[in-house]
Amino acid sequence: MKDLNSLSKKELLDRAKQLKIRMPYLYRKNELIKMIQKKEMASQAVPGTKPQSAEDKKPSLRGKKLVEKVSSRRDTAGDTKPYYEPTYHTEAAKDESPSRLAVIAARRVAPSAPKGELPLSYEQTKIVLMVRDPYWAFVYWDISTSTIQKVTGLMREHYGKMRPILRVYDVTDIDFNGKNAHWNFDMDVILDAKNWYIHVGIPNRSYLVDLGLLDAQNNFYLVARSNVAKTPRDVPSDVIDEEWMAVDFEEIYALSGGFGVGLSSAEFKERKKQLLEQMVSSPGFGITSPGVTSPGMWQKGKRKGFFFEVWTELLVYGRTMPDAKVTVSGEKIQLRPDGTFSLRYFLPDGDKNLPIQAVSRDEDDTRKAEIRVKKDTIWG
Amino acid sequence: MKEIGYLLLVLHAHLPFVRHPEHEYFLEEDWLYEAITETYIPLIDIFDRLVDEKIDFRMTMSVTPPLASMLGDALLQDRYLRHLEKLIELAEKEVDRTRWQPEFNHLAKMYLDNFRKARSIFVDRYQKNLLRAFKKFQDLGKLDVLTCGATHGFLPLMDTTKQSVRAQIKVAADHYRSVFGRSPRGIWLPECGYNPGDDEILNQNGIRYFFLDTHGILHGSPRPKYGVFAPVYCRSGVAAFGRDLESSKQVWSAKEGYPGDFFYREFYRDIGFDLEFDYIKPYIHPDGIRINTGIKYYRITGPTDHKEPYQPQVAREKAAYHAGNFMFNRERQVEYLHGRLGKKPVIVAPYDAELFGHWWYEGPQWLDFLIRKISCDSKMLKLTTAHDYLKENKRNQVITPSFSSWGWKGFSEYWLNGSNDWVYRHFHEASQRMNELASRFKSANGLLERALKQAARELLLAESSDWAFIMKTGTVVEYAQRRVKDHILRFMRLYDDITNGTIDEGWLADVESKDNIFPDIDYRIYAS
Repeated sequence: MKDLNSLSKKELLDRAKQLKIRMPYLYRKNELIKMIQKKEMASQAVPGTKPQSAEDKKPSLRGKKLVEKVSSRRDTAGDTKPYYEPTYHTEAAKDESPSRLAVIAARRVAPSAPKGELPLSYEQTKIVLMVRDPYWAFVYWDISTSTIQKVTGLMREHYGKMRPILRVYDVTDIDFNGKNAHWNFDMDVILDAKNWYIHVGIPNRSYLVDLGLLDAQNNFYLVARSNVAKTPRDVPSDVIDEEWMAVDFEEIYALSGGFGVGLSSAEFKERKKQLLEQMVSSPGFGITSPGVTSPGMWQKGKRKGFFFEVWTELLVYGRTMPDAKVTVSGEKIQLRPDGTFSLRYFLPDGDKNLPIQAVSRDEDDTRKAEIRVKKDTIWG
Repeated sequence: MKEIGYLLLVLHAHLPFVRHPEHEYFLEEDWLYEAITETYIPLIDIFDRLVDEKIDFRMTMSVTPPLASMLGDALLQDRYLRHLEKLIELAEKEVDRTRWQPEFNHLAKMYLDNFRKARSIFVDRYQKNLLRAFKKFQDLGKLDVLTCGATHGFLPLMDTTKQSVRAQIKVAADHYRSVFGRSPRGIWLPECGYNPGDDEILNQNGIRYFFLDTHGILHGSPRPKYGVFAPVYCRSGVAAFGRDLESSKQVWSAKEGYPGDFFYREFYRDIGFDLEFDYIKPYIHPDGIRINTGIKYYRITGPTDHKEPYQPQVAREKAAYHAGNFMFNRERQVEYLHGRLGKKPVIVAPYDAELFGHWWYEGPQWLDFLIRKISCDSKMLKLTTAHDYLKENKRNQVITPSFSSWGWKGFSEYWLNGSNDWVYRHFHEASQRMNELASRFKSANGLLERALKQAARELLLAESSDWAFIMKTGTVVEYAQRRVKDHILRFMRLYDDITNGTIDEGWLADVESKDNIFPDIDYRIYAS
């Protein structure tokens, strides 16, 4: 072990972070050294305690995961060298007894995920490449605990000289063997990010991405290799079918709206988004779960400035015998079973008369009332 | 004179599967109820009248499996009726309340009439099951009903888990057969998301055609001779039709589109927000949160807070005028194209169905006018379906269309960005585990089979593109996130229980009763 005392505080902090010491800046230098020593002892004891054979491999994605074992590290610059063997090519699904599968299943779900939340890792080492558009791709990765230990071990060994990278290969029309890409480029990444957007830059090309570590001598240590994915074209194909050749393709292209593709679809999306917002006639999900209430939905159709509106309604209510017949301005109204009734009217400015009449069931008795209302609104 | 071009109108009707029997009232279920009242029933009413009046027409409409499942679900049917009864009650009160407001009183009566008519169509004519209506129009040869991904999963982002793509298509086709009594001929790919090669899976399911956004055809290889004005065949033999931008724009565009006309109804002024609280309280969210009721008294008026009362007659005249304008433009378009191409062009005009009626209140009227005008007046244009077109035009260019979608920027970004990219690792993992289960348990029965079926349902429900879409729009993000997590967690628990041999029947039955989509699902399709 390198003498920790010779390191600067900053180097110690970096080391502490790697070792997942929480809030290391809270400690004095000598305290930090002690903690680091303790952690490093502990972590060195860990590898091997977990049986690696228990890791299992999911049915492979498109393309093959590299399983070559590298016995020693040669110093050939730029060569791809998996530094460990992902030992999991168990075909777990095939002939496993349920109890055996259960062990795997139990381990797959990271114990750290809080209830109601999804696992942070599925305890496997893989990287998956997805295409976003002609110029951008997306990768996500997952690294099993045992591999993480190897990665951190390696990084410790090459302290400060080893960095995680994504190596992006153009493998268009190639059966990729690790060395025969048209070209490739590297990007620095943060392992904990677990995903990354990659500006691959060229439409209509096939790409493959390696996640690995790069040391100071340019040796690459492969952690995981992705599937192959192809970016779409963003212009017409240059392949022309003689039999179906257009007289003037440019015109057909323009008539079809080819030059306005991006533009109109952007506007289109905006409308679609509006449409969805309309469908959502609500303050959001929060209100249906108890205890979480959010304020009303005024952002929809929001008024532009300060405003003030006042309206008036007239509420008329009364009661009579439940079997009586009540009319308002000559129209019969419905009584509640107990003989009460309520009438509610929007009340504009001006004079309003409301004749109400109740007739007993035997039609012997009639009572009348006329409500007269004069309403003004004086706006100041 | 015989026609010189075709118009292929497509309405994409879709809502995510939202059904919460565990809650007496659940706000997001209103999406369905609003769409039934404002979009599906008005469209059905129009089709019924066209049929009654013997006006020949051709329309294409997707009814996605989640939507079809909800329309056919007894619980949701009853809840819709409850919702509609409340609306009728509110409209009745409004007729009284607006007695001294003549400018609104006739509108209150209009809503009351419409809601009562909706009830009559829903209950009396179709026995609460609107799928009967769509099936009827299809059987009459007027409506071509398309299927869609089983849960509207965005296929290009499942490229590394093809078993999920296969399941999205196969489950949809099986469900379609159970609802419409025949195999689907065409499909509306979710969000028009197409990845070259997926047409092979369509072909395996007997699907003959699908629809693409403009650039999916234009950037295909070799170059498409006729642009988007003729379909192409993929190498699998399945035909692809491309969207015409010009006709889309006239309806969709926020600036130039018809729905923004000042005489059309204003969406944002709803009595749910305007009226006195105690009065409106029984018709909004039970917690007293104001929401839209569907009763709206104003017209768009202009870019101002001051709104004028809505005048349905004037709006109706506008809809007729706009339909005439649309037809005129399509006629000029086919006239020119016919000359240039030397053949009859087909103009493909697809729209979200819920745009019509729900958002653009006069949309169904516009469509009604358009269909009638073309059927009766137009000498140049003829309405067609993809099926009819292909029957008449068998020779088409063979190309490989390009990866595309009809979403923002035309590819996958709307469903793959910082707001929603976290979902895919879980979808892919679940999909691989489903593949593992299905490969392992080639035959199962009893409790095990139920658990396997439910696992497939949970995976499918999680994969619905709507959740990623909502996360990006920022509307009901929490709900969408919860749905993804719940379905994945249920899936993972099922996976564990199945592999452990510890299936909890009580819990399974509870989940089955909630996520009850696709009762007859064949989980084996996930096997490789």
